[in-house]
Amino acid sequence: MWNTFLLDPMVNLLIWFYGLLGNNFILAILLLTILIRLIVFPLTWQQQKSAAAMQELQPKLKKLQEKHKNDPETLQSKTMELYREAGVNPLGGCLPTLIQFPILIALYQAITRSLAASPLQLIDLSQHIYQPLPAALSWLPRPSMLIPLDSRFAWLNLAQPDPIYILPVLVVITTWLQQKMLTPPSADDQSAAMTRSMQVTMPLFIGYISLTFPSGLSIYWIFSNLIGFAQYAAMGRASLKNLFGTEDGSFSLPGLLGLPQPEPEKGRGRRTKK
Amino acid sequence: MITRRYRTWLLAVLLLITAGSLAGCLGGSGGGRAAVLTGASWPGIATSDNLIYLAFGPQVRAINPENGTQTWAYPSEPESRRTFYAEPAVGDEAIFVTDYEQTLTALDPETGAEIWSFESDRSRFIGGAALGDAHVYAGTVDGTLFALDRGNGQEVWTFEVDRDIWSTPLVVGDVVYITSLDRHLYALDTASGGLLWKFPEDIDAVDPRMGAIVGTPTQFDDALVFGSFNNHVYAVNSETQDVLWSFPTTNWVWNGPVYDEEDGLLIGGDLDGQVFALNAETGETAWTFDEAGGPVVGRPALGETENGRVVYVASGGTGSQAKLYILDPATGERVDTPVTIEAEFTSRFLVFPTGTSIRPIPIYASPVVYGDLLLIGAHEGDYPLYALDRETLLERWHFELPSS
Repeated sequence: MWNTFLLDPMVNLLIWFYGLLGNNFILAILLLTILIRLIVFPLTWQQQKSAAAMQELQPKLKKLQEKHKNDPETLQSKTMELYREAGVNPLGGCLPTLIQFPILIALYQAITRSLAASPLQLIDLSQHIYQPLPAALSWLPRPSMLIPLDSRFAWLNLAQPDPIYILPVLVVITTWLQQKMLTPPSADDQSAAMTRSMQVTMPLFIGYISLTFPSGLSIYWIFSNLIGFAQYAAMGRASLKNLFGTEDGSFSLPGLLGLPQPEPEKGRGRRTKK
Repeated sequence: MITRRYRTWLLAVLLLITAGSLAGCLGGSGGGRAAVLTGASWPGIATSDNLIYLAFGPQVRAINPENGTQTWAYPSEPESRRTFYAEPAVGDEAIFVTDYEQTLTALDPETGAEIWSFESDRSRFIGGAALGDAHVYAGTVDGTLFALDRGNGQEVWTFEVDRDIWSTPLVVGDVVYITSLDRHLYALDTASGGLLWKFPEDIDAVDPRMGAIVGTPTQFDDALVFGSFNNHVYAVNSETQDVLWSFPTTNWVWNGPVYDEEDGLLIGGDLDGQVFALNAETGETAWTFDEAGGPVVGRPALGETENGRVVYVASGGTGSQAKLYILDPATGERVDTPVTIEAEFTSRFLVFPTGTSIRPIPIYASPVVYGDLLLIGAHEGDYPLYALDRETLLERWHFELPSS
């Protein structure tokens, strides 16, 4: 079922795109990434709507936390009541994410399988290719003429890890930037600390994966992050305020790095007066 | 805030699961992980009068055919960067082994001592070496065929093609033939490396859909026969380069067929598991056998039993499809019960074992008939080599990798 509905269609699409785009696997990955992003767009939209609604409730939630800080049970019930009144499902952002994960996993598997570079991999690939094609699809490139796909691009062999580590660095940077731009400041210190921790560990973790996996996967991650930027910006969800941690979205290096912001001007004035 | 923390950690867990899935360690889709053996290809097997040579993983080994014990291993200790899969080429003075990294090495056949080693500064070897009178030939993944002096490993000439060479070259008289993933068969002069001809000269004139060629061609009379990824087997006249005939298959053809001189048949299979026997002269179908199910990768092997001639066909695939079939080469009918080699596999979710199951292992390596033994190479399961009694098909011994 996994192969029939997810993996095989993606493998064949990737190979057809490769043929249609002048035997360029980088462009094939880009086109497939865009296509996947378009397909999951309704889910992304739903996820972002849910996140926005949750964001709007933050001031009210904060008030509730202050009011019932010594009574966790009441806080829990009041919080749920608030969600109910606002028509927000607190897990509404998780379901779309859950649904997207199998698609992302299949996409990764499709890239690694299409770039078969050893006999066992190529035999495995043969079991995923549609053949023969119906006559109506005879205009599509024939996988038999294309396989094995040319995995060389610039200094890269897309079936091997990047030997000079440029792509893993780009993966870390783009993943970190995307997370930073999308994550609004948290209402309480504990959540903020956790968010900061995730913003560092996740990109590093993905960067570590891309150190050891084929560089074609790193290309996918980078494209996916860049397309994500554009998509979220178009939805009004990517914010410089989140990126720099400032009220007006102005540049702040400490804010960018998640460090405490400098003291405001009036603070210094008071010290001078003393 | 509990909800937000929960969501953050839920995403973290999902990411970990994703990483696990990407690494291929989710047991669900693959049905488990092999007990011991892993690799990029399947074992390469060759034989001499008194030894069996097995190239698999980090070492090449010489094995005593009487009892399956190891005589020597090269290198004596596994090296992390070196792996061997192609069948060794056996000469009187040395055996020649190609390394999945970049070396072609001549070894003393009796002791495994290194005689010389040639390092390609270009690319890895996937196919094996072939022997000519004075030279040894092997091709690399970057599409370079090397001709080396058999005595000292010095480079004599090179010939470059457009894409990978995965096959072992074929030497016939003064001509060395190579196939390439660039969709061509090349004929070169053994002494100079000069191109005598290539097929197709013009792909569009023969078949614009011609696919990659990964296997070593089969030679009989003046014909060369090879399979292609465009689901065809071609027979080409080596003098005129005319297509004598072509045969459509249902999937890619990995290896050239075996030539059964007695019946004048070429017997091979494709990656859908269709086994075919073709009249060598005309290409007409003599018989087909479609019960194999899994991919037929290895070249079938001809043999004799007390009941007559047989052809052994190994099938890959998953589950019950993985079998060794024993067929009558003249009719394609089964003459014995198929042999199944089973191993215990551990299913895992991420790194956590969820249970074990016993199932047949797929067989991709070409079966090898050696005296009264039938040698079967395995790339999954517990043991890389099994020796069966050719008459009874019962296991005589299996070769167990020494623990290091």
